[in-house]
Amino acid sequence: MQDKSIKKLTSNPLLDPNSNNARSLVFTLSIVAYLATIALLFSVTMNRMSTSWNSALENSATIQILVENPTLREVQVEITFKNLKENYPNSEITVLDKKKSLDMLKPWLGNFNLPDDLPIPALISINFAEEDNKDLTYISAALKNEGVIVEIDDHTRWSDQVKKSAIALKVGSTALLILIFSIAIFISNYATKSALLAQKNIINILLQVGAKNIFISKLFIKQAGIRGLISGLYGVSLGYFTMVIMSTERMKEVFIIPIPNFYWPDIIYLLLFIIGFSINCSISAGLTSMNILSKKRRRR
Amino acid sequence: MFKKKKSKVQIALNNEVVRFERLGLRYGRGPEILSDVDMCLNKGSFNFLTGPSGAGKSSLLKLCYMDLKQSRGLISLFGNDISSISQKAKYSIKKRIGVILQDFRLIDHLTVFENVALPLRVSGEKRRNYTKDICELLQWVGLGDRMDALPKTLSGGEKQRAAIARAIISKPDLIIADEPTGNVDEVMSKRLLKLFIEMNRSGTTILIATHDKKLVKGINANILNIENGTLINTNFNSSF
Ligand SMILES: Nc1ncnc2c1ncn2[C@@H]1O[C@H](COP(=O)(O)OP(=O)(O)O)[C@@H](O)[C@H]1O
Ligand SMILES: [Mg+2]
Repeated sequence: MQDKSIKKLTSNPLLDPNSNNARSLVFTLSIVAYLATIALLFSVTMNRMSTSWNSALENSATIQILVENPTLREVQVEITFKNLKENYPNSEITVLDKKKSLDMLKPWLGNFNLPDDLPIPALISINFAEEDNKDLTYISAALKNEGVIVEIDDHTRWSDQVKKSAIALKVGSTALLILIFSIAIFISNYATKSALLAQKNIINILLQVGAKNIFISKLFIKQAGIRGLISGLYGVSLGYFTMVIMSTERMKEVFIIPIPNFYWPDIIYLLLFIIGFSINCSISAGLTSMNILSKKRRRR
Repeated sequence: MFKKKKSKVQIALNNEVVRFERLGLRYGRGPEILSDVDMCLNKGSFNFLTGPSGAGKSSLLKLCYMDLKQSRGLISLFGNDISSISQKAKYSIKKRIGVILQDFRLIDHLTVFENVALPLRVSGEKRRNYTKDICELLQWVGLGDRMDALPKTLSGGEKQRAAIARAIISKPDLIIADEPTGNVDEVMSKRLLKLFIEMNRSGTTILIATHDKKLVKGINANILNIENGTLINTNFNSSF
């Protein structure tokens, strides 16, 4: 009978888990974690997107043939096409028709109706295959020998621009992440401070029965860690869910900005993120409580 | 089961548990509530601290369990001048003192069992090592069937017994009690007193503050009386 009653005995945490508005604290931290998740996923996606743009740009080029006479132009296009085909056998080489060429030039020429006889350069686009050499420098010389003058745009100008914007986005979203994390630190500090006040009685009792400051700090570290973990889990799940919804085809039509695609490994990052969030809360609670408790001791 | 490690310093010194010398205490910039108090409690002694309400009994006890700092004079606990020892040494002294206060100081969200277990839990004892001890002790103080109860469901007397159980669970060398019979009837106060006497028989030094003259009668104990901020009838000299 004795053993039975012993097994039934509870083991509650020393700090009151329900005091100090625990729920609103977890709610607030969840929102912070949510925002951080969105910022994190946004930055990851931006990164991914700029990489894919870059490689698309780096793996393609456009070749212009600037001859006004249409018959001559057609001949030159043919020569160029053949030459390219020979040199880049695996790559995708396309001669753009007049309409497509016009479309490509629209940003420069404007959107109004262009006269039919406007001299438009012939455009050949090339998407390099893995196996082919991407070097285009010698081709202009080779073509010149055959009497064809071409202008080569290898997109380096573009890819530089894209790289720059990608860096700006990365810096921006990292700054945002740091900001959000420091908000989490502030909240955790503040919560610890008010918990120390609200649970002053408990702390005094613990000190009286011989608890060391570090023992009490550990209680706060553990509490903050658990709260960080719970709110991290809430916030991240919600953030993930939001991003998944936003990346569905239907949503992609609504948003102007391209919406990210998701990959499985992202979940590992998010789990790491939750752990980081929790550790972040723990550390700030530990520092705050140690600080306050040691001040208290000096007063005594 | 809970063996005490005695440090070398303590062995070297005599058997004084508490010593006050020319002690003075004031709160903030107020007047001295205690002045020129000389006091000495020997190991194994049973002491009553008496005096009218507001005389400074609680304040004197607080000095003994290091909840307050003296304004002047010397306090030595177990042979250590507490103004010159490390924080670590203070922790270990605190563990040798069991304190029972008028307001019991039980933690509301913890059960009786958990409240009593606090000193052991705080010093890192494993739960399975002390569960049996606590059950026995609670049985002994008559709280055997209230182990799972929360403090708010206890009567005044039950809270008091829980507080006492917590104070003695770690087998302290010194027990300090502030008006322990303040909230209970005469029968209960006799029982509590018997508990203290029993603890004393096993070598524990006892210091009880009370304004209840009746309690003091018929017990072979030192009586320290506070009057006008200072201690009279002390056994300070008789200890030599
Ligand atoms: N925290 C405090 N701040 C200021 N004055 C106090 C404080 N605690 C007690 N006092 C004063 O000290 C005197 C002694 O109080 P106390 O030690 O509680 O006496 P007793 O326990 O004998 O009734 C009283 O005049 C009381 O008003
Ligand atoms: Mg008092």
